Amino acid sequence: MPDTDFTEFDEIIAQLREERPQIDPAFARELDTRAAAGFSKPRRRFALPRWRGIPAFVPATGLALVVAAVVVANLPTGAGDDDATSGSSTAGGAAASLAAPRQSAGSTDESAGVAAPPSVARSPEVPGGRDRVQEQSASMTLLAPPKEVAEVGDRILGVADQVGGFVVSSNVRATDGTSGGGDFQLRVPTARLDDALARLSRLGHVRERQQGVQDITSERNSARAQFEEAGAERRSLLRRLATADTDNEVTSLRARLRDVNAMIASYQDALTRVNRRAQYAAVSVSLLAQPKQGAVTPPDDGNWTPGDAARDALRVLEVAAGVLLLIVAVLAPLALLGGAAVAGRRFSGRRGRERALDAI
Amino acid sequence: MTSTLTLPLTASRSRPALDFEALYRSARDDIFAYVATLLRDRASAEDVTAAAFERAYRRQKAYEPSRGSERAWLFGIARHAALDEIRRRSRHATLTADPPDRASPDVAGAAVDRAALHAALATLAVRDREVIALRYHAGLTTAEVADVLGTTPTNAGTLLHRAMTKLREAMNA
Repeated sequence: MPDTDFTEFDEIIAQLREERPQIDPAFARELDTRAAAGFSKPRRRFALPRWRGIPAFVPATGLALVVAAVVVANLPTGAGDDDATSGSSTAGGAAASLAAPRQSAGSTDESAGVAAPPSVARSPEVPGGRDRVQEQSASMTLLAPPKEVAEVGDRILGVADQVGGFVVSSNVRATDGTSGGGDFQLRVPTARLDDALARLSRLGHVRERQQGVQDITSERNSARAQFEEAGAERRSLLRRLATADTDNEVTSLRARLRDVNAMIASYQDALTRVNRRAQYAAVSVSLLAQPKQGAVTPPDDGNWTPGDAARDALRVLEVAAGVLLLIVAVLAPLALLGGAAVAGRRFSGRRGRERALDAI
Repeated sequence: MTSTLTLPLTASRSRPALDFEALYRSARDDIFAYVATLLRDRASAEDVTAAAFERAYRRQKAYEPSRGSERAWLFGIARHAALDEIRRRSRHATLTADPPDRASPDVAGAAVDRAALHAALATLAVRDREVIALRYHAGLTTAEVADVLGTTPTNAGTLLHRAMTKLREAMNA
């Protein structure tokens, strides 16, 4: 808008221009000096520390450490963990374990031809007394990809060998790449039942798992009593045989001895079986082929393969993404609040300035 | 006043650099005149002038040529600083004006006119005094005044006309 519109104010305008406030030369010099120095200003008393002076990698490193800590804390047990406790199993090893381990049922009394009573089986801590004896059992249903049924079956047999047990029976149904399965009856040392179940669980997807405990103390005591009673009878017969006077008496006693010896052998077997039930837990494994390959955990062969590395790397990325998502979830509301606060402050400042114009 | 001044370069490389040194040289006295008229306190005006240049220096990278001239941008910063000072002082004390310059005997008539002008300016509202200061003390064009006030040039001219009318009435009162 040209000044000609304000000709009526020419005189006042001239006065205004003449009365324009003049800057003080001393202040002008001081301002020039400050300008030349880049307007360096003493730090505010309550100013927050600035990020400018801190190397950019410091907060980045801190964040990376937090992410790494969370990732490490959430990493699953590595595939190679098995190596620390046992070697890899083979089908041949499993086959070799099909024979029951030789259990010392007792030393043979050569002089009398009588076996000593089998040692009492030790069982895990049993409530109600130290002499209590328990039989433990477990059953498990595993799922595996059809193409891997045979391989997983071999590994199931291998688990029995790894924990010092044996295979009672195994039945693997023929696989054609689309179906198949198997049933396995294992005996594993009771003390290593949990270990065996853990190893079996890693071989495939566990659909079902059950464990049971049965008290067999009375059975053990009964078998032992029968065995001891038969032994006592045998000793009595031997004494009587030593003092027999007639042939008929000797013949009769020897016949009785044969019967008693047979009974002792029978009772001994019964007692051994009871003790073995306490010492070895029965594990029944059903292996089923699962059509959906993606839903099955691949069998763990105990070696850390590139595939394992890829899975671990994927897991690391998943956890890292999760951590970042958490951080965003925490920071996003704070950022929104901060943005709202800044906007509110600007709006308030603008209104305050306008009010300042109106107030005077 | 002439002086040699070399300011540190902090302008961004990605856009045309603001010639802050030239802007400072051309606007220093105008900024002070505007602020002093607005605040009617030389000491506060000096503080606000220094603060305005300091803010502008720090924010020179934020200057957008598309949003107005360099002078309008600088005066906008000075305006905010001055209004902040007015708000601050209004919370703590009433605004006090500098006493009018003492007139010398040989220019008594002119002194009377000056006193009348100062008295009239003092009676104006800040809005009116501001638009007069921007136009006639700082020497901005009407378009630049409009940029500083955030309005249109037409409206700025209207505001200026009203302010001048009030000033004339106050002087004649």
